[in-house]
Amino acid sequence: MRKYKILTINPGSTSTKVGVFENENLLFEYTVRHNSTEINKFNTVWEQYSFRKQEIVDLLQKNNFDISKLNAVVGRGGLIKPIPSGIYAIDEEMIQDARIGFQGQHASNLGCVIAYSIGWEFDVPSYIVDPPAVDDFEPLAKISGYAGMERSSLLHALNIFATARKYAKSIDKDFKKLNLIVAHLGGGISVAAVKNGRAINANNGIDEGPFSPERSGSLPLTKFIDLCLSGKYTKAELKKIVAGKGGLVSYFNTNKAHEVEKMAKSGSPKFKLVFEAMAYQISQEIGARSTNLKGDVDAIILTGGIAHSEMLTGFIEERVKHIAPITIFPGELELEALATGAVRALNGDETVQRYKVRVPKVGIFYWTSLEVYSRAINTIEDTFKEKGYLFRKHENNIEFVYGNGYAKEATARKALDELVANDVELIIAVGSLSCVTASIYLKNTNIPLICTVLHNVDIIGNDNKNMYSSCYGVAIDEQLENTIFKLQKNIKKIGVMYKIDELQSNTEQDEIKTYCEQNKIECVSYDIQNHGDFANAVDFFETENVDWVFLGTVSTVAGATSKQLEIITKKFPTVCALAELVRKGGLISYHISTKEVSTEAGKMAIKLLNNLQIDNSSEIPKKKTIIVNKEKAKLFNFTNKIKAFKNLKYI
Amino acid sequence: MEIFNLMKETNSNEVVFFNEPSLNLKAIIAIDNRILGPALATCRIYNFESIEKATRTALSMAYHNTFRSALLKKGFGGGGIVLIGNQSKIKNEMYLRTLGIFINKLQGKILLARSASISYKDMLDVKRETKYILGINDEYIKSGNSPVEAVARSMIWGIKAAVKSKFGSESIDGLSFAVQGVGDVGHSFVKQLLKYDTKITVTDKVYDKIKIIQDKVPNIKVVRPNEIYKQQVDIFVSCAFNNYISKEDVMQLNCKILTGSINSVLRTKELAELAVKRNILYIPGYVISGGEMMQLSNEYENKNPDLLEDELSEIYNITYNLINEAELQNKLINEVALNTAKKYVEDVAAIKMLK
Repeated sequence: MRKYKILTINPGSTSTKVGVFENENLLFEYTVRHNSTEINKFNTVWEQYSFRKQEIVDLLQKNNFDISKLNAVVGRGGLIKPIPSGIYAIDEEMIQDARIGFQGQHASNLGCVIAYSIGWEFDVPSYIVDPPAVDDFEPLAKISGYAGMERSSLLHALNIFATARKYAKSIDKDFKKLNLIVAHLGGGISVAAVKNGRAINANNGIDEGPFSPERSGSLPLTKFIDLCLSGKYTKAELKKIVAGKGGLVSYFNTNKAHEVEKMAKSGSPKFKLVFEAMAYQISQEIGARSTNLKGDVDAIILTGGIAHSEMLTGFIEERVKHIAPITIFPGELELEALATGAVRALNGDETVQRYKVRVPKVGIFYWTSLEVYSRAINTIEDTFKEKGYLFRKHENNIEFVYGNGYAKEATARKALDELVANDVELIIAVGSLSCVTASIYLKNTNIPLICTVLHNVDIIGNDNKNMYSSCYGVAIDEQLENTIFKLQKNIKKIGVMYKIDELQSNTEQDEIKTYCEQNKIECVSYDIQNHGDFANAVDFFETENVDWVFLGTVSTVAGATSKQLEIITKKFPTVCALAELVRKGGLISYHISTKEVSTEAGKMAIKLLNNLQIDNSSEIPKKKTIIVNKEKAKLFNFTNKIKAFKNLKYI
Repeated sequence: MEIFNLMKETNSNEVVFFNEPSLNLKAIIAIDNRILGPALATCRIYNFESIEKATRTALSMAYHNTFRSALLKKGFGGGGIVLIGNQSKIKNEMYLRTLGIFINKLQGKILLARSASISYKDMLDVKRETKYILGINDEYIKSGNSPVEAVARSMIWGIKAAVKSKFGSESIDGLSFAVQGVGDVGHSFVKQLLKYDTKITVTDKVYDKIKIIQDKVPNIKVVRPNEIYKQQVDIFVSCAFNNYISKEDVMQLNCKILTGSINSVLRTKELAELAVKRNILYIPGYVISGGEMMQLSNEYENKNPDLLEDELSEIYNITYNLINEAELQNKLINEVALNTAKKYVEDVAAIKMLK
């Protein structure tokens, strides 16, 4: 078996533990205790980098260790993005997250950058193994009880997994085939349910669970809120109560469990009460973990520095022995765990994972800034949020990238170019024109396209397997029969607003003309080019003596203000292709809400991102509604007739 | 090793060895020639494998300093100082003061310039024993005109000329750069690039130097040293001392312009020809990195620091003219630059004869 020289680095708040191993065998280990005056000179943990690294290099030189003989460097990873347990190659992205302290600032954030730096200079691989940010939580474990505030996985993963592996080895079983409860009992305490090699739930070592020598654990919430708002403490002081000055420190001003144990043994009732209470809460947490494993627990393992206390482990044993057999591995195996991880990586016994945490990007493409599109986009975002996607800065697990066509083909294509260059996983095109443009543009790419807020799927064709749609899909005859023909018999002439260079409105115009021909009604259309044309349009329709006017999806109309439209909507009863236009003063619309179609588009996108099957590539929501403007109904004397309509909604 | 043979290679006038065993100070001072003026010497502290390599380096530094001075038409001869040893271990106050004493012994034949191996603080120690130093004038430093910054800014001017010649416009916005070596000069150069809309990829053998940049510019692209040559970029800039680009490296290059801060990014004519064959415009470092010499010359002549930027822009014209001349003559730029510099030294020598 090949022998590897491994350098392991485990930075703590005031010291850095360094170990050099030959495979699993420790060659030498040293704890570099940093001078507190020196270390306090730095404003942030990150700034301590050069100082700590130099101390490590000096230590290796003092021990006459030739760094160039190293085969790998392993650091204790920090509070980076949540990642599944395992061995990770350190890369730039990980360094960046350690730098910003993705889940907080902690000395362990330096573990990866120091290891990376030494690995870089000696051209050997650098790894982290089971960092505190390990997240194997099952979905149920993430729910906190307050929407938007997820529980996060932060535990003593390195020692927990190392101990679990050691236990498995001791009984000659595969670590990945056991269900274990591992309680790391140190300055902080975390109790994990390790199911088949994954920590599916654990108390967050800082926020929750049992109190520990220096952490408060879970506190009575309302009392803590009062404390927070009492004005007596700063945010930093409050955080210190939770971690640093909580737990045994708050009761006895010491974080040394063995001193408290000694006092408890000497008969001090208060010391015994609090010490036993710590065991009581740990036992409670172990009990909770057993329910996470549905009672199927192979063993309970107690580990960490204070597992040396027989009194403490004795108290715990009394309360949890009914759950499963108990094994105690006092102390920590962190350096060994780092070294054995590196050996597994170098031997190819375990796959080295890449850190890159993929935040999928969704391209949102729209033709121009219309309110209806904004509402649709907001709805799509809400649909993602409802499914647990987060948009918060630094905590996002999804990113929307926007492309505005600014109503011109050239800029629209540029916007699509940029979306593609942005490596979006899929594009949601909002509005008919953007759907048409995107469907042509993306035809020869592998990027899936979801078209929404369009009236008719036919305009985008169906020859692209990567294209999906969620459209209003209410046919023109359906729109007319459910609105104007229910309100008025003997209609002689209908006026249509359209725009000659907009495909969707042309299609509408043709469909209305066809319908009118079939029903022996006259139809005249007015090509509106700009907002100033509304007055001319009224003149035209007056001259033509039309009974009704159809306000189509044409962008000039959709983008007009209520005031601009008023000149028409007051003069003629209007049937509107968009509910939006009823809000702006049109009379009536038979329609599927934008919310419905855009929600469906959001759901489709989520399915595609998760590689799930989409049953129908083209969806038309079933719920149709008649939207009526009450004022206009009164103005044109339709109030009573409209009252009889089903699925009616007034604006 | 035959010192005289080495001197013959560069046609140098003088090599002086100093030794102070109690301080482990081993200095080699090379003077190329002093026709243009006192020899301006840059300094390198490095643990050279042999005295021969160290001497060769000192001579090369001196030679290129004459060369650079002549191209810029400045009043300096060329000098080079090599101190043998590990700079993180040997430098201390007495060591540096002793260096000052040695320089003083040469009675102004040589002027020590602040350079990568000798920091501002080191220079203050040297200054206690000799007045023959340049590059620590506070007025210049406060005005943002330290020698290193001047080098970086002159490189930008030179690169603009190369870009104009290669792409038709002198704008470097939108172009991509690979920067090999981000020590003092490389770092300063990256800082200059960040003022433009450029895409930058960096590398260095020492990760700490990369980290300094990354902490300020987290999204900068970083690659391992052995991956830098194959980066697809518009411009490859080498600022890596003691790094020699091999034939294999040139074959890997995926750029349109190759240059740097070091004197000869490509050390041989064959490599320069190979670059040309690969349609890479190669501009030797001494052509574009003359900012340091311009700054030191201004300091020597006690000129207003504010005049420096105007002078640095002259690098644009020098570079552009050399590129055009090389094209006209169908020669390599380094050949044309060498002839131009030689002719200038000869012309100055001729008029000095009249004295």
